[in-house]
Amino acid sequence: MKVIPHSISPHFFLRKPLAATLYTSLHPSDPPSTTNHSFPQPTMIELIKSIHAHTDKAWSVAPHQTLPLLASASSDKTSRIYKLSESQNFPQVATLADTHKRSVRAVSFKPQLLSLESDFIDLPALASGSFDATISIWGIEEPEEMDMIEEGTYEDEEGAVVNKEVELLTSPSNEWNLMALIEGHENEVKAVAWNWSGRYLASCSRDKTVWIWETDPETLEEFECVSVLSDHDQDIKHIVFHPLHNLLASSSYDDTIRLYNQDDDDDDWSCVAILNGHQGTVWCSAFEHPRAASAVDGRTRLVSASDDSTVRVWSSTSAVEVSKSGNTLPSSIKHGSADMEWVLDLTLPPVHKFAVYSVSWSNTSGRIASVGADGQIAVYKESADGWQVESTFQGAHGVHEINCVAWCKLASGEEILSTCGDDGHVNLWRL
Amino acid sequence: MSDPINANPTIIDVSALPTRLSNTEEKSSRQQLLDRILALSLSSSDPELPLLTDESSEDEDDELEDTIDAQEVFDLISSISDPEHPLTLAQLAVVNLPDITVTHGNNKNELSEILIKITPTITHCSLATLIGLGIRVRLERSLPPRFRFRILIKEGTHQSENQVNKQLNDKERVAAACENDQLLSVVLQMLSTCK
Repeated sequence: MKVIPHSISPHFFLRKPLAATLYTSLHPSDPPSTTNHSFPQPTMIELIKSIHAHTDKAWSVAPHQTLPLLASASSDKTSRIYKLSESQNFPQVATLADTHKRSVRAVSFKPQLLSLESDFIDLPALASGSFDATISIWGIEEPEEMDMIEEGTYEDEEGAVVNKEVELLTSPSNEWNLMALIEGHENEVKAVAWNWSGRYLASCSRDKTVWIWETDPETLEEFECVSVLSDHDQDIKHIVFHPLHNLLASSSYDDTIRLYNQDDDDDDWSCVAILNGHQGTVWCSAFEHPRAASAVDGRTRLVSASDDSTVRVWSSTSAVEVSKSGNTLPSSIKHGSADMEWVLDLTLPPVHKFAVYSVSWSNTSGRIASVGADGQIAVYKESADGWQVESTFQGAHGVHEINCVAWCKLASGEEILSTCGDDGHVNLWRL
Repeated sequence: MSDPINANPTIIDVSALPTRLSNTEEKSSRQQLLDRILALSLSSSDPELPLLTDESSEDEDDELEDTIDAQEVFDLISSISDPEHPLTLAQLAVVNLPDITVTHGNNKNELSEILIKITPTITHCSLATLIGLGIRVRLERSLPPRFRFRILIKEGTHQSENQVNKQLNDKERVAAACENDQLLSVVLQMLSTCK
């Protein structure tokens, strides 16, 4: 386990896409939208923008928690960051290149830090995991104009409220630099995820382990491995933290999901539950946000997507241990390090024909979205009668597979969906 | 390579393999027969013709794709070399025409599926995964992206059937394997004999 700190250097530059692979050249840059207009879609999902972000498969999209930024990861070995501003036509903010030797598989923004001193400005930062077994951490320096601006907002020419700080932090003029390159995994890193406080970064790999890295969330200067979790029997495909607790879910090629909690006494992480039921690789899972419209006090839920073409909802009424790092929710009761009881609530109505690669649970509306190898987007909504399919969209990336879906927010505050696929496109959808 | 895993495989003569590549003569004689039958037909218009003219305006370059059937798939993968023997997968009966199923979507915007069952020469063949990977790479590079491939070990022909099947149909592991230079060079070597 080694952390190579990189002094911030302006060495990266915008790179022209390399020669398109054979696979993309077969179907050159046809926007997926145009291929679908010819036949009717029984749907309320509408394409806002299709960005040809990458010259090879796009594996992952992830939004920033509070800033209107979206990051993508691709087999073209780069990550890209876009600003989710419809009025500015979704400008590219950065290309993160010349670092990874193989596919970038996953990206994750550090969450917005809470309870900070008033003069501290929380700068956005991104973690990328690659098939080259390393994790890179990227960030910006504080924009110069930052000290000059006064707190607050102003109205632009069209009367829209603009937050000056948000404008500066999401500006394409910021230079995104490599801050650290983290080594430790034996082979392909498949996912990276931050905990709610930004103190812990988790990574998982084909080497069957989950590593927990501790850092100073304000400076991100060092990443120290504090735990290696080797409970899975196989390749680990995905990890995700609970939005408010130090509770982690890992999805695996061994067809199970495991949940880990941080012990209150010694800060150690241990496996507290195994979710059995899927009949194939579990590709992804997502927690329900306790403040989502679908949430109920005292109940924790998780949704999972699998190669068996199903999407399942699991729940637990066991209290989630409060970590001493400072999170206090009224619904959480402190108790010793005990196992959590999890049950399979239900399987969502079947939509997908092939593997479901990604699932996302909206932290506001409480809706669930899933995508997969069949090129379809499905959106589910919970009502008094249970979960129903609210809408579907076929051929959302033309004939290509869709690898990732994520709910995000436009600069205007509107909730939208982002997807990315084997066509290298990042698509944004209005519901 | 050290000791071969299967030193004495059964070999099929190339001329005995089903193919569409070289038998154009047979095809034309078949075409002649078809022409003769059509000429005998009472109806003045060929029932298939209106359909063709309807589509031809927008699907000119799709004519090639339309011919993708089991034989076409067989022709694409039959000449892949075995990683161990100087023979092709068809000669070793690892790939067989009856074990290829093609299911087409209704139009070119819909997905089509290809199911291929491979028969390893021996039940403990450690190269089965590599052979499957070679087939997958060959198909991914040759066919349009609307095709979804499922490559399986034929039931009862391998002791770790499920394990191999799972690995061969995991897109992420296939993608990672193709970024492994050593592995990729072996695969490209296998594909170098493809027509």
